[in-house]
Amino acid sequence: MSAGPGGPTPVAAAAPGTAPTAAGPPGVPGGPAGAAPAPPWRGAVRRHVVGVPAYGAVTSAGGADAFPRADLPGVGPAWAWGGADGAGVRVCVVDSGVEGGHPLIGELDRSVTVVEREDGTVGIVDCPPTDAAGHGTACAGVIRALAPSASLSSVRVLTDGKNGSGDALLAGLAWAVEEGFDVVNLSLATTRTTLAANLHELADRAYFRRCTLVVSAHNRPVPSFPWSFASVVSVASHDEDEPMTYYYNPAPPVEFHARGVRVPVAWPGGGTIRSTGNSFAAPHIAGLCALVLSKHPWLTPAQLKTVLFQCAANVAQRTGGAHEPGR
Amino acid sequence: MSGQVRCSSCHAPAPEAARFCPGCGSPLALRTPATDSRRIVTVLFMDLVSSTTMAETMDAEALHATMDRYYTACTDAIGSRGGVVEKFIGDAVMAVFGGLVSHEDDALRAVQAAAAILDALDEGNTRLADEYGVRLGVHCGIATGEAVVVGSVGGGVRVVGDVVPTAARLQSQAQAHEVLVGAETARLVAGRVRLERLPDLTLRGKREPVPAWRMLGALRGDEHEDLPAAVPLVGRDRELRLLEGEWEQARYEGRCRLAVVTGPAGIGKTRLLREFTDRSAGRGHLVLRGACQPYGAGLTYRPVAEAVHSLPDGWDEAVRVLRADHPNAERAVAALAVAVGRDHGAAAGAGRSGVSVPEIAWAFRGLVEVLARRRPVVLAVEDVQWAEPTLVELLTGVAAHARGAGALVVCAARSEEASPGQGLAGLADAATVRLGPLGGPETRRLVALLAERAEVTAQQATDGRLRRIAEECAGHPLLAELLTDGLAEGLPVGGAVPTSVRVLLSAWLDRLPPTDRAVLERAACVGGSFTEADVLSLADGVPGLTPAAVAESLGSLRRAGAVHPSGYAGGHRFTRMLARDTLYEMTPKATRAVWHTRLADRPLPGPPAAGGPWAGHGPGAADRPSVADRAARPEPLDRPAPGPDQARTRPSAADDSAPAGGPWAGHGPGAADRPSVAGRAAPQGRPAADDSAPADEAQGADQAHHLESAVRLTAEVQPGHPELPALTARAARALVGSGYQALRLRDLGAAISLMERGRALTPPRDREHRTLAVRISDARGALGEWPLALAAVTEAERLGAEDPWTRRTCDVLRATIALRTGDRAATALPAGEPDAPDDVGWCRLHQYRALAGFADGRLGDAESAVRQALERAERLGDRYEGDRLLVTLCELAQWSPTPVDSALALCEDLAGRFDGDRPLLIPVLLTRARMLALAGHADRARTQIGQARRHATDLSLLPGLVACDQVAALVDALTGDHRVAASGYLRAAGLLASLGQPATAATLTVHAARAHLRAGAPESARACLDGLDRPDELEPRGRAVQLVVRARLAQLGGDGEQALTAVDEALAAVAHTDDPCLLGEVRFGAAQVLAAAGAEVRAERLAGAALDALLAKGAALPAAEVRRWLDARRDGR
Repeated sequence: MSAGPGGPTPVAAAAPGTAPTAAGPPGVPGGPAGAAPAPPWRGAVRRHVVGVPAYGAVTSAGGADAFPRADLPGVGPAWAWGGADGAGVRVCVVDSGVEGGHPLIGELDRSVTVVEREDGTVGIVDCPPTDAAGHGTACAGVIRALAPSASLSSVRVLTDGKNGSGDALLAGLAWAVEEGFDVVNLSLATTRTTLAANLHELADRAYFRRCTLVVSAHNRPVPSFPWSFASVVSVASHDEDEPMTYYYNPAPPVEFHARGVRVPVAWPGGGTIRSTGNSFAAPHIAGLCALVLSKHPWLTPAQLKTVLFQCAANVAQRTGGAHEPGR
Repeated sequence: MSGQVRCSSCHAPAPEAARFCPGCGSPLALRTPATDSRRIVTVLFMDLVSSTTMAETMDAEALHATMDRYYTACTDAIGSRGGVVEKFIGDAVMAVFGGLVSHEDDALRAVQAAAAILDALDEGNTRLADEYGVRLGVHCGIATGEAVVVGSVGGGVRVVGDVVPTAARLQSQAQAHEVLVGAETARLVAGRVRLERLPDLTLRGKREPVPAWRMLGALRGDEHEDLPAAVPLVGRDRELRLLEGEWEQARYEGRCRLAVVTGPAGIGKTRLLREFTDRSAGRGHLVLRGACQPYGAGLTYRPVAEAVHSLPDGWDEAVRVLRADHPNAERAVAALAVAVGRDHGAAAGAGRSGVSVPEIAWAFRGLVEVLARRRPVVLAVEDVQWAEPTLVELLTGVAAHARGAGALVVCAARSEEASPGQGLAGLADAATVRLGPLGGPETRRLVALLAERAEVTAQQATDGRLRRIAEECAGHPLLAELLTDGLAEGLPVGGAVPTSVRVLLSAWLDRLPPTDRAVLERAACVGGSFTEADVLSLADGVPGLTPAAVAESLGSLRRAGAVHPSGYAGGHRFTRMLARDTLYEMTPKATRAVWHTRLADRPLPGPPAAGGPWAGHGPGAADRPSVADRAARPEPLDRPAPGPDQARTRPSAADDSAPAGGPWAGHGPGAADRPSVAGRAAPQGRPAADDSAPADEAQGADQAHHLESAVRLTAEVQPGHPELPALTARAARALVGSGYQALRLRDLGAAISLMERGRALTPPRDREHRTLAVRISDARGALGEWPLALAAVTEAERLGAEDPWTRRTCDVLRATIALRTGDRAATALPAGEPDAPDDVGWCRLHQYRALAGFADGRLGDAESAVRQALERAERLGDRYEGDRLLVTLCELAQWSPTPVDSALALCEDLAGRFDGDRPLLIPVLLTRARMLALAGHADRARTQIGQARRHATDLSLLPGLVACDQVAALVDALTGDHRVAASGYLRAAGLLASLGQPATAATLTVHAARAHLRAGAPESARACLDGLDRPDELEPRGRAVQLVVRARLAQLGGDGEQALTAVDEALAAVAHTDDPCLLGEVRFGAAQVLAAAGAEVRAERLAGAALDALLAKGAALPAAEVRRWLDARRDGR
């Protein structure tokens, strides 16, 4: 196994225009006309992003620019998830429910739903593993495809088809964090600023409890949450067909681009459909997180995000190793 | 369409054209709609509680009078709201709303009728309690849903459907004086009626718990919750400006003005009014609101009452300001009290207590004047199309005569529904704002906003569906809103029309003339697009549907914008596809089944034998040559083709130059982009020259669709129909045949969908299941969907396990899939061979063997296996399989011992054959390029690559482009441009990796290393090899080359021993292969290492063997290089 960057690889050598230019640290005086050049590790905001927009940008075809910046020797895709299958990692899908027993998903460990109590507050109760809207099943299928041995659970918070209330989301997410899941997939978003503070507090709580929240960016360029918080792993889409390929976005807030266009996804009733959206990009990263954590369970969310960054297709110095299934 | 029209109130017969009953003067329903239809109805059940106690306590005569009042209250409340009492069951009343003519608000009418009955009983109960000490208690259940309605206007109705028992059970669960409504009803009346959700009820005869709501009371017009208020108003700037202008003028002049907003139902009148009044209220103006109702007696002044009650302090405030400022305050208060229902001496209504209509108008005008003197007043009245003329006069009177202060009366009225006698003629002088459909960009913006209404939303991209909704709603905001509701519920696109939308559209359809309706019903069964001939083919027996009548009807529908010309000559298309879907669902299923069958039975115009080329594919037909297929084949294969393999969809079998082999040959243009439900459309950009005329495919798929629908509908309404099995078999054949046809066009998504639907209708134990397993798993594999490919095999095993042929073939398919996906554990094949006559079984077994041979480097074996498979395919008459195998054979010739000349001849042959089928042509061209390069014609080879590249670019075939890169690199390597070759290999490797073919990518990286080495850049070569992720898992041919490169690198690094070990390993790796080029390459490379190590004799012997292999193949160019090397050594001695 080649253990990551051991010198210039043929691909990097062959790809034109990707070599980083030497540049001083930010703020070094003497830059042209006082304007310090942007440090090379900070990408310009791209006029186009691939797939579904990350944040108001125009979409285009093709991958993200190469971003050959960080170099942690030895940390590459093979190290991160080579041979891993997600065993021992508990993943929770906070969504519309998941159809247990689907051929592409298998059985769930736990299936709960948010219910409205008499007094108008919400609570969590166990429920049969079903999914009327299909969205959660689709996400779970993506995670299962990447991490076949991970444990999957479901919290139903989208109680009205593919929509839900803010209270339900807060209750469901709080439950998942309390339950100590390693990875929580959130393929949903809200535009209500009234929910932002509570969501922020929950995201931070998850972060400090070693619970990695993988959140899809909003499909449309509107201010929305919780994907835009720094404590979560935020994901938008690229339009390539490779499930293991993802890119680091040098111009956050959204941090990663994973497959999210015309993704074949599991659908209630046992079949599949093709569907598009950042909803399906997030579970690709959630599945990868499960793989990485099954090999390196000691990683904190911060370290895990660093590993994801290090192994992104436009960062890692290698010949397409991220494209390998890794098992 | 039915007989005599009768009045729904007095049952007197009425003349055909009458609009009012000649007997009692009640308005008659305008038209008699089709009887016996499926429609959305609201059913109301009302029953007395404890009537037996009453019977004991009361005298029979008194009881009779009491019951009479109860029945009268029921029939009045129901009849006046357009409902029909279906029957009395003991003390219970069952009524249906929307049974014969749909109204948009049938559910609301039913709920309000129930409320009216309760009110009427309350009144009577006071007296009953006084006189007899008893009270009449009722309980009520209301449900909305689809039902079959039999009957005609005035002739009584019968309603059959699940909605009836549901309403009955809800009623039985309701407490005394309680009205329970079901889910659909609750949804339809939301915002108009105060409801309270109850815990789900477990009802007798219902498996699932039933959600239920308790009615708390109707909301007044000024209390209506405005659902879309959460969404900002979209567009309508001009209309708002007009209203604002009117309002400004009124305030400037210090008098009252009148404005009317008109437009069809659901166009946004209420929303516009709400926006305008909200702005006014925001500026401190006083806003009064009221709304008219379409039914019920004595409602003339209800909007006036609502307006008075909408004062911040209600009636008291009205009294206060009148007494403070009105010159004749007491008279005005008394008159208004009557209108508002505050005069307890009489029910609301004009004239009862000596207060005349002009008096009320004067009093109300006075109220507006005194209010307006304090601050500007806006009076907004909705649904004025239903206003009594008295009210219209009152409103115009206010506008015309109110003096001394700024006020604006603004009315909203439906333009399409000005009822006769209640017309808006009185409003003709008012400033009118007409609302039409929203423009395209505005509609899209509205739809996007509506889709974001919820607090938390899933981030599944809905762009496509939102676009579709924007098209479907045609600028109609209410439709947009109802449709986005369905979106949130995850309703599939093309699924059932949401109830609320159906209600809206049925109301429109019920207003159509009978002929138009009959035409549209038939057109809906044909599909979204139809021709006059289609409609006429379903017209038999219906007297009104003559060709002339149909043509005339289509003309008027076109003018009304319901349909528009589309597609081929004489074609039409529904403007609102939802209207089509609604009509389709309103037509009884049995009728639909008959129509679908008839549409499928129509003779197909155009080409050949019975039913087109697929008709021969009966169960088991695939095991026989299909006549049509034979006929369609342009030429017999005149040459027992050389070379073999499997390939077209082999993901991991390629060496340096395995350009095409690839996964891509199977991808028709855009096939992978098509959703699996693609259905009937012919693929875009399909090469024109194909065996089958395009019309065939569409017609075949149409026929399959009609048969499939007929089967589904018949099975639903008449599972025991004697002809169902035969129909099912026909439908299965048609679907499967269309699927095979689509496969031939490489429209993989459509093909899979059709085949799987056909499979569902094919009976178990039918041998067609085997062919289906083969085809579906191939197609799934070509799309890279291997788990689903495997699932197709499992399905065939489940459905046809008794058949040894099927079982055997499934084993072979499993092993083949395992080989292709690199699942080494499952590649072994259970012992045993198919029966001799089992062509399909043998064909697949040969293909498996070819694949296995290729994987082991036994190219000659692979080639002959493909040739045998080809023979079987020909015996089957299976052109699709034959073409694939031919291309495979061609590609295999690159690596097999087949001489270059023969391979070129094969390429020549196939290039002609596939000239019109470029996805297959590209691998042929690339094979030819490689052969030409080997023979020393590098320039001609590059010309071929250029052609292939153009085709691949035209068709956007990325894998094809990668293959071009690959072969181009090979040609560069052969001509000695090693540096160029290395970067070409690497580029192709990177792309292949991104296409999910890491193994092939790794092999190409090895070849890049080899090229670097030969270019004199050993460091780059080493970097390439070191960059390999898993060198141990290289394909055998890649491994051999890698070992040679490593040997040379070790030698250059001074490690002679390791070099010799690597040489031995490399030679061992190719010991069993018969690939001459690989043998030449490895042996020559080994010879060079050995020579440098001083093992001269062995080196020259190896080089000689390399030369022999290359010469046998006819690979002149590499052979020349070996010969030069040998000659140089001999000269050196």
